[in-house]
Amino acid sequence: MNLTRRDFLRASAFAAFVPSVLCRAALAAGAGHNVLVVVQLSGGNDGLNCVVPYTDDEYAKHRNTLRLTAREVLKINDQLGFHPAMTEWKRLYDQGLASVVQGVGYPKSSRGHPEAARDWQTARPGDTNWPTGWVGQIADQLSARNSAAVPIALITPFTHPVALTAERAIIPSVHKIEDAVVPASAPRQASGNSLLDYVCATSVVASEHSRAIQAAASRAGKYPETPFARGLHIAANLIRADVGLRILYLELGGGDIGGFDNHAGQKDNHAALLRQFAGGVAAFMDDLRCDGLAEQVLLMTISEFGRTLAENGRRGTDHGAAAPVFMAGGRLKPGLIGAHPDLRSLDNGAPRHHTDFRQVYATVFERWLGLDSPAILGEKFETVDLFRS
Amino acid sequence: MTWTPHQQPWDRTHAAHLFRRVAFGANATELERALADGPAKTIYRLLKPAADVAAFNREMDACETLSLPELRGWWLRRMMLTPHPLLEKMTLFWHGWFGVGHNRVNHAGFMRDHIRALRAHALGKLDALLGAIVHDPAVFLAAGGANNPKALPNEYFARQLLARYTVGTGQFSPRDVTDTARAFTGYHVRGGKWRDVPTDHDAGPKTIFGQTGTWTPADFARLAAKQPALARRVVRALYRQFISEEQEPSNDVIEPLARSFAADLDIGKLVATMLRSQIFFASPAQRVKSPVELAVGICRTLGVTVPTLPLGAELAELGQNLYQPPTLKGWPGGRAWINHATIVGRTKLATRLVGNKKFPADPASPEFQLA
Amino acid sequence: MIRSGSRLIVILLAVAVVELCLFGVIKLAKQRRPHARIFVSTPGKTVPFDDWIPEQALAVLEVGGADKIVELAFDPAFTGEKSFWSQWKPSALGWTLFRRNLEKEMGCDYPTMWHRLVQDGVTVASGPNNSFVAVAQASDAEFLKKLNNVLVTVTRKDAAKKSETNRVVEATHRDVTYWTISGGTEYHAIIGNRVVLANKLDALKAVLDCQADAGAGSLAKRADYQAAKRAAGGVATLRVSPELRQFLAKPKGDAAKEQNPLAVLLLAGYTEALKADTGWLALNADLQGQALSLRVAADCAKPKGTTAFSWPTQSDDGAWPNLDVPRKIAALSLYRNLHDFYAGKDALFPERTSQLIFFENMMGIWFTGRDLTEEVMGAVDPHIRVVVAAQQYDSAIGTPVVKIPAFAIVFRMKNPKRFARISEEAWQKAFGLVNVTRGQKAEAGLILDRKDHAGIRYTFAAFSPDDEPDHSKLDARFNYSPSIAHVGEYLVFSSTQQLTEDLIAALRKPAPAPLDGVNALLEIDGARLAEILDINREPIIRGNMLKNGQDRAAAEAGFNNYVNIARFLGHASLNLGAPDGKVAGELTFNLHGPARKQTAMLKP
Repeated sequence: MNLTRRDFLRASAFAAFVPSVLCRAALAAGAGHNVLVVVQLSGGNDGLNCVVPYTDDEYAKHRNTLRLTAREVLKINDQLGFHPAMTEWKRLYDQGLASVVQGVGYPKSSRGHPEAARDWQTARPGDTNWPTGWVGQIADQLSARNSAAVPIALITPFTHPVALTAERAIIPSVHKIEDAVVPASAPRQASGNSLLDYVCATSVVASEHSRAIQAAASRAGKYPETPFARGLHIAANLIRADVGLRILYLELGGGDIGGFDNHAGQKDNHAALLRQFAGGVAAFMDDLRCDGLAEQVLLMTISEFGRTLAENGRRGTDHGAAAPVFMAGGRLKPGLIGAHPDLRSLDNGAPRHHTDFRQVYATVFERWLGLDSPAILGEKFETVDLFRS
Repeated sequence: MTWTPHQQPWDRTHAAHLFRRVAFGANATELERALADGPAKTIYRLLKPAADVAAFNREMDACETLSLPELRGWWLRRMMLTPHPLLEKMTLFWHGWFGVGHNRVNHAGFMRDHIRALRAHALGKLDALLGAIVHDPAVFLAAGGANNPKALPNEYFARQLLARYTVGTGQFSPRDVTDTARAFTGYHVRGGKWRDVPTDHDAGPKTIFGQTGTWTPADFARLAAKQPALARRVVRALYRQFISEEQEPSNDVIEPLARSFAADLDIGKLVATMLRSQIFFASPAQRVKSPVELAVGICRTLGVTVPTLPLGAELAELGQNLYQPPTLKGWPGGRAWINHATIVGRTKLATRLVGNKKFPADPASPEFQLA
Repeated sequence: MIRSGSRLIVILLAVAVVELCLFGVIKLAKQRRPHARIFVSTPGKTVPFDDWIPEQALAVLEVGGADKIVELAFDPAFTGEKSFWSQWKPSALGWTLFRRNLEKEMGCDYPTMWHRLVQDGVTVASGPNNSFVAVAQASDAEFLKKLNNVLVTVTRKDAAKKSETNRVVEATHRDVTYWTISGGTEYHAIIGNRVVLANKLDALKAVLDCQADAGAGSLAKRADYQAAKRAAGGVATLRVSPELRQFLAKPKGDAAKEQNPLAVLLLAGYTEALKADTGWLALNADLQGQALSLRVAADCAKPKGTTAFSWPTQSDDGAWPNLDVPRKIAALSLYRNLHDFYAGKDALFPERTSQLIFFENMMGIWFTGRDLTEEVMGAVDPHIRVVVAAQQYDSAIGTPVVKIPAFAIVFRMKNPKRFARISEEAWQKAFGLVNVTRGQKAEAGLILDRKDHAGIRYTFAAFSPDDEPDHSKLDARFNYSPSIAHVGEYLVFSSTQQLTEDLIAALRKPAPAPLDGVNALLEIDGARLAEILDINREPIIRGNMLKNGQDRAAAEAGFNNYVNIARFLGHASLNLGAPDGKVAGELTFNLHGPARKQTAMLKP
């Protein structure tokens, strides 16, 4: 059963008066309505160019065309700063609506695009035979009780990523909001054929959802004119419509190998993508806050790997290992989570991870979505302190 | 209700039900002819059409390219135009059974040949079908069998062969797994080619399904085909395909068919028995049309062909991506086809395909979603 | 045959232009404000009716040679049973009887009636609220009076029989009698030897007003219309309002598509010009013998800013004439400053797609990390030429099943000595990479080799046919033997050795004089295009069957149509540029004919 927004707000108001332990439980209890927005950064995002260790000599030594100085970065503290194109993101960060989990990766990544992407998207690194993606697994789990439910949607013009491969559930792609609009369907009497009744009932609910989505979409929002921001606008409308969606999946970087795979001429290309990312996410959060929905939404980025510390002589960087995971939402513990990887102790030329990406997943699955994470990940992972209490 | 042939009544409803389940639907002429001919003759013609099916399929084969979207488009076109729609339905059935998808195989040529092999045996003998499967590079790649070295027999692949493709979970022993893996050693798919490396083959004796011998993949196929557990699985799956997705049939209903099927391994005959039966005709609206059945059914009833390149992509979005089933378990079907999102897409697709033309049913109705 | 063909073209063009105008107009009419006024005329004597056409007209089509069109309309090729148009002939018995009756009364046959009706020209105009008027000047006033009488009388009788009291109405406006014989869906009036027809009473009255007021409130009094007509040589003018310009210039479809870098490279200069503040666009159609030309000139200067990369900076500079090679199918000569184009990529195509990043990654590898904008794009000058030619397959190698034409691109290097080496290295790296990738997929690889031809040593990569079973049915890859050649200051990338050698010969000729002001010249040989399509008919037809859902007969008919049109249109050339600083374009067809000599663009 989906709680209505009102129920949830009531619950969280109550939570304000309750000690933190129970608050955590309340967070999970309200998890019946929390939404996760996954943004796939295709190509391997260069973390060092997003969260810049501008005072570190190792950084300065290994980056010449890409180096950002103290004057250029948007300072977080006296050691780290955001890339100058991420002004909108910095604003969210300062407002306490964003956080960065540093040093996320996993052991023994092959650092190849299809393999590493598969690892992040199946959450079973190294298992080439694992058939489903973690999002698909969740889809199967959530629709096991009710085949008609649509807990997950893909918002991108590109084909289904591996993450969405499910055994049973069919995850829809929403290219534009009109896709979800359907004429009204009147409820019918039970017919004696339970299959027919199922189809009728599903039609009725679908048309109710359609009306809710139309109403939500009639509100104009202020989003930049980029495809990514347009996708987030659709996401915001779907969340506003309150139709039972739990996970929305978007992609930035143009599909395929991915626009973040900057082996050459990284400076301007990466800046352009970061600008699109920051602008889109900020507009998305602003839109949600207008309706008081920011506390129900968590946005999380995933990327198959980070990149090397040193430039490769072609004004770009090569495939690396650890990278930051960016989070945005109204219930986050803001700020930097985990230490910045030590650039003196590299993993084959790239920053070394200290947090397994499955720990981040486990935290999100358990504490945000209220799911049994070992069932999805195959084993238990220690969680990360992501959320405010 | 039994498997004995159904004789009366034979009216428009029954004929339409038959065509809907067996042949993607029928136009007015076909229905009239069926009513005149009676059930036995109509079913016979659906199983063995008078037209030169081989020539038609050869012509369609010649059109196929090595682009996956185009292959998808050509198969949909073939389904719309074929004089033998039951063969295409059965090819699609086996495609789901083996669950071999391009996302795992990554080779359009292998996928094309795989579907052709399925078509060649879809209504033929089960041992011939399995015989083709155990030499099919697409199957090897999809089921994790790309490498089968003698030094480390591929037990994962063996497990898929046993649990997914033949006898089913719980119907084989650990010995079956190890010795099936050993039977397949020396066969690899590397660099886009299927290789038989005799020196890498474990030639020792193996015991599979209680029988011992120096088994090769062809022997595995032969042994598996005779297993009653496999016969039962096939019968149950065909029951789901042709009769009902809503209730599991009891063992009493399955046993007689399974026994005769295990004896002669004749898929065509098994299908014929099921289609002629009272059980078949007593089960209307007990299945959900798959997206392919929905679209192709409308086209065949109207007698039109539509652009199939975009149609293939649209059906993929509704959950049935030809040449790319989601996992080795194929498409679960039934209620899984219908959720709050797909019902919207399916209704829009059906309404759009019918357009303004005269059509015997209301494409926007919930009833139309069922078969 | 040729003459009727050219008349056919005139008709088709007229129809196409009217459709285009009406499309634009209808789109705008939906916005309920008159945004654009479009005037087009066809060759032949033009009788100006502009003093009768109200100034609110949105689109005006003046047909001077109307009698020729009537002749053509009744040509058996159109009215015959198997003709393309026969499907639209009204075949009702009632119509046939009515026609026979009319012919009896008028004493001449049906085609002659039409001929006399529009003998001195007809002008059709559309106005606001879906109104249309037509003014025709007939052979003489008596004919018109008689025709009108017959029609009115017959219709009155028919209406009386059916008791349709309002079907025939007669009234006057400004001392001119007008009728309707259809109960208000049409109105007509006769003034001397001119007939006025309108679909709405207001429109008819507006025309009659203009006539009565000696042209006051008509197009003839509009200064901008007259100026446009004069500027275009009095033949035809298309005046485009800012709103329509924005509409035309805006890329259609997905936002992502407008960011296709190749589209931006080719078209951005023109779309930017359309958006600029232009007073009018002049459209001129001309048919001389076999040469048909359409000229468009805009009253706007070539734009500056981010799209300046597409315009020559020097006053007498421009694209070079196209290269000439045997079996040439098409050639394109461009003036595009690649350095400035790529330097402006953040403004021109901000979308960082996977393909763009992949392209930059590859260029980074091949050019050993050199800066793409400064050192690669900036190493060639803006004169770029592309050529596509049919292949003659070497019998020693064999013939592929699918026959893909050869294509090449020719640059001029600013620093030939240095960039020759850099580009050679990049090319060899690229094809080495191709070989490794093919090897990973167990596909046959290319052998790299060098060859001397006419004093130039060039490098090429070729597939070996040795392992192929049937040399007459080779795989499509045997269409390619990619090559790189440096001919003096020219850099040639070609898809086949044969084309490289042909280009080496062509580039030996003295340097060409640039075509003043031209920044794009595209030439297509229709006959050769038809040939190459025909050779590959089977895969193309199959592809169409799949894309369009047609059966084989329909797909074949559609394909044959395209091939016949290509053959008929003969040699086509499209010239775009800004001679005299004003943006203009010219499209010419040499019907059924061979290639014309290339000339600079005609000035209006």
